[in-house]
Amino acid sequence: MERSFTDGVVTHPVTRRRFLHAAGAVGALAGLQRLAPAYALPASDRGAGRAALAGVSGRDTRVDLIIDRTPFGFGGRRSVATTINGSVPGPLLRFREGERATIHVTNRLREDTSIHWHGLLVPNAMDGVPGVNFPGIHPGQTFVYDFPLRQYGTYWYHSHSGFQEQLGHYGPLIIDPSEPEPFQYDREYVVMLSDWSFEDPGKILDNLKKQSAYYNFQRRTVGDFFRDVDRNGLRATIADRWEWGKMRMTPTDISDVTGSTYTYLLNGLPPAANWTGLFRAGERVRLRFINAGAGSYFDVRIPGLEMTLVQASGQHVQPVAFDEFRIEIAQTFDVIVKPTEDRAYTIFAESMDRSGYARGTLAPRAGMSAEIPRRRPRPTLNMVDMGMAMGMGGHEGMSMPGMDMSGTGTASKPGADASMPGMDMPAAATKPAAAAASGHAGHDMSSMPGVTASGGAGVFEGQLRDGTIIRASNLRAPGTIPEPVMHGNNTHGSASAGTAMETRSRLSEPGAGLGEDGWRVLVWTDVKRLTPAETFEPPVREIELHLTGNMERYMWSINGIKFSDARDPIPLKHGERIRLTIVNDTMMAHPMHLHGVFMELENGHGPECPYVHTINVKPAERVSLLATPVDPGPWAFHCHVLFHMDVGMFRVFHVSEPGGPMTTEGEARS
Amino acid sequence: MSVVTHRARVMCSSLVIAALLLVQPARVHAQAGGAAHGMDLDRVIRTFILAEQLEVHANQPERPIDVELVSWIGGDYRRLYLRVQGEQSTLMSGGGEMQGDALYGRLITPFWSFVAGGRVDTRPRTVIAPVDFGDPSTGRREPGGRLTRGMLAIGFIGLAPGWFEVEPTLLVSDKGDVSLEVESSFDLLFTQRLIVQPWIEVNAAVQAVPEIGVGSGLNDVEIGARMRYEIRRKFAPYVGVSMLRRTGATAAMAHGLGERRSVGTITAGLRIWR
Repeated sequence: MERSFTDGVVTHPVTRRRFLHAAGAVGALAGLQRLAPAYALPASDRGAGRAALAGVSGRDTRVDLIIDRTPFGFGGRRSVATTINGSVPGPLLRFREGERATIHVTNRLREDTSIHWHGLLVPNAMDGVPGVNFPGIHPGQTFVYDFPLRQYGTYWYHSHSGFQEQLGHYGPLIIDPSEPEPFQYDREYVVMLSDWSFEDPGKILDNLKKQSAYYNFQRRTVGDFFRDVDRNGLRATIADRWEWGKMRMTPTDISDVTGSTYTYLLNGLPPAANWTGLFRAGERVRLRFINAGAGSYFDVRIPGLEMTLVQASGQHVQPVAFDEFRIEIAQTFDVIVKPTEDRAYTIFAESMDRSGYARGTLAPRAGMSAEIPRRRPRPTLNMVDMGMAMGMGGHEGMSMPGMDMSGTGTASKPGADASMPGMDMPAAATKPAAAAASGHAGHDMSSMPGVTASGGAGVFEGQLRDGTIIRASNLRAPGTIPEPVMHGNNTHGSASAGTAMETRSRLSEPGAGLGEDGWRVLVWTDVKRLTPAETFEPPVREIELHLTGNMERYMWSINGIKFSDARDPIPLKHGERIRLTIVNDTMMAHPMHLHGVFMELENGHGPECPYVHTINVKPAERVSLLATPVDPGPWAFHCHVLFHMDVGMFRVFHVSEPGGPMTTEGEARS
Repeated sequence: MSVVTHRARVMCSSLVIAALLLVQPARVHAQAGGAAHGMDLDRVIRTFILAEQLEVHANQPERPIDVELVSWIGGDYRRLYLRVQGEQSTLMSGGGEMQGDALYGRLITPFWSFVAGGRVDTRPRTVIAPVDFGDPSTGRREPGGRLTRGMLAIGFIGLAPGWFEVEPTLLVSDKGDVSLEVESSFDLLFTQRLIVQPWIEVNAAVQAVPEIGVGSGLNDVEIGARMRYEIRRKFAPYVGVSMLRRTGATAAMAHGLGERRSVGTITAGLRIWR
């Protein structure tokens, strides 16, 4: 049963001496990247195909993980990473569905640590969020995670303490299904994307707090102004600048931490190290993409290869083919590619703002590389991203020239007719369902102290103290896409700058800067669950949260209230069917993650709606998800941009005990 | 005091200011490092210090050094703002002027903080013979010691539509004199690092304060531009030009002191923050 450590999988207790010895061996082999875990070693040093990702199984499997500080660097620069068993990323953990995982995590840091198993359905106490599920793992302590494996798929794990995730504390996790998989492949590789900075993450946050554009070196310049005048005319250009200036926002605000400080890593390796996965022409290669970035979305393509999605968020989906996909932070996508030529292919993962890229290679032999595509120009946001509604003739927001109706937005188009007769907003709003969901209960209920209970059976309806809206039910059929909704008059206070006037579903859009290159881009409306749900109940309650921010002060919050000002949990009832509606009132994308439950993304496919653990909410987007929370206890819900979460875009949902009462506000405060 | 030792003193204090700015702040995250995500990190108290100006007025006869510091300590909604502005000749001692503000600020809308607090203002006093401010030929006025005043200050610090940073401040002195100053500036990016910052400062007073050469009504308008190059975001050398235009009675009084109505200045300096 013993495997060497360099297989990347820990199968036995690791003594520190032995661990250091193994880490040293890895370093000697890897050369450029002495902390690379096994699956990131140069291809020649690694077993081929499946063997490289071979895992352990067995009921008595015990895994030991040691969290420590380890020197880390590349390109001649040195730093210190927060490591798991001495590598960045941490070792690949591999289990089998139906088994039990016993993982001993030892903290050798001088501060607390933790591990959260991203996407795994575990008992509440095993979820690993300090202050929510457990106190954290103190220096010198060993915490034993012990939970049944109730699902299959590609996941990952990471620290939920401080800035450790940004410092390298993350790793891949695979659970092999107990049933045969509905697709074939000959080899598989983990492709874990992440971002590394030689700056202290605390310093990065401090810089953002003092100057939110600190890392944005793609702002519009005087030169851009004259280029736009040439293209769009003086009046349209001035009007466009004024529209943005009025909001004190910039259309180049795509990522708040960029390639100016980040190096984008693929399996812990910088682009120059060129991680390589081997294949033989004609083989089917499964790539398990994981975005472990602390603040980076990646646009991934492999020029020359079509990709077929087979799993999203670890769950089987109906195969869908495309040429490029945007992987949101904390998401996992499993794709299969079939390279038929005897040549190298570049895995090109461009950061969403185009300020850098991660890169690897699929090749028939080690040492090969293919052309690295040119980076595309930086995308810009448009007025749709700002929630400046379409189809509302006469509204102030509509007087904008240069509105880009494509929604995928690059340059503003001059003289676009702002009154857009095409969009039929008013009609939608007259429907009872939409009317019920319309806008924001806003101040209507704000006079109520805390929660208003109605229905007697402990079903809340009204508005929580933190502004979360709870409705008893919603007439919209389950699995359907939400209607566009005008924002109510609650603009969420001074924590929220530039509330989106209208929010709409944007699941069919690839996102800013994608979809205009002449190739197919994956969008969420393409994704369907492999096997339709047998029962697909309508929700009994709808919970609506608004994502808010004030970029000027780098404040991020939910409903205009940051977490430390809203410690009351949002109550959920054990086993109840809820609709979670997330509304993005900001101009930045937010990857929202709810712990402890799979969510069914309402993308219009009814019982074929895909499961997700994390969903990106685009600027001015309204996303709805169905969930049936079962495991009782407090569960974290947050934006997976590390710094957004850290400054307050975070809440706790509390699931009641079976048959027990729901938590009311003021209880369960930690 | 000799000119040389005085210049040394001025240089020394400039170096102290620069050192203060460059010293690494206490590692804010050190105590928050072990905190849970989202638990305490959203309440960290931060300290911001910006030397907006740290400059030499190259073409003025006294080669004055001009310093403008803006700082705040606090969180997202409530901050203590400290502003210091001063000018000191590097060639002779005495003279020079300094004002320091300590203001409590509260974020009241997404882009505006209301601020209230106090100011200490010290500057050379002028001894005046009876004079018709409209006719400077009626008397001579001479410098005579210093005048230090305490003032109440209320105002706003914010960002106006179009990215204009605006700071209007209403001041009431311990003698009951009321004045208003408004500062505004704007960043124009030529490249991502080469930034031109036009700015304007307007002063007006309700009552004349002849001891410091202030007449009632609009006192002066100063416009200028600094062109900085952000070697790093926090370290940007700049060159600048400005034009001060005194108006009305204030201009007349300045004339009485032998000063000009309009003063053009060329400056070179550093913009540093942490």
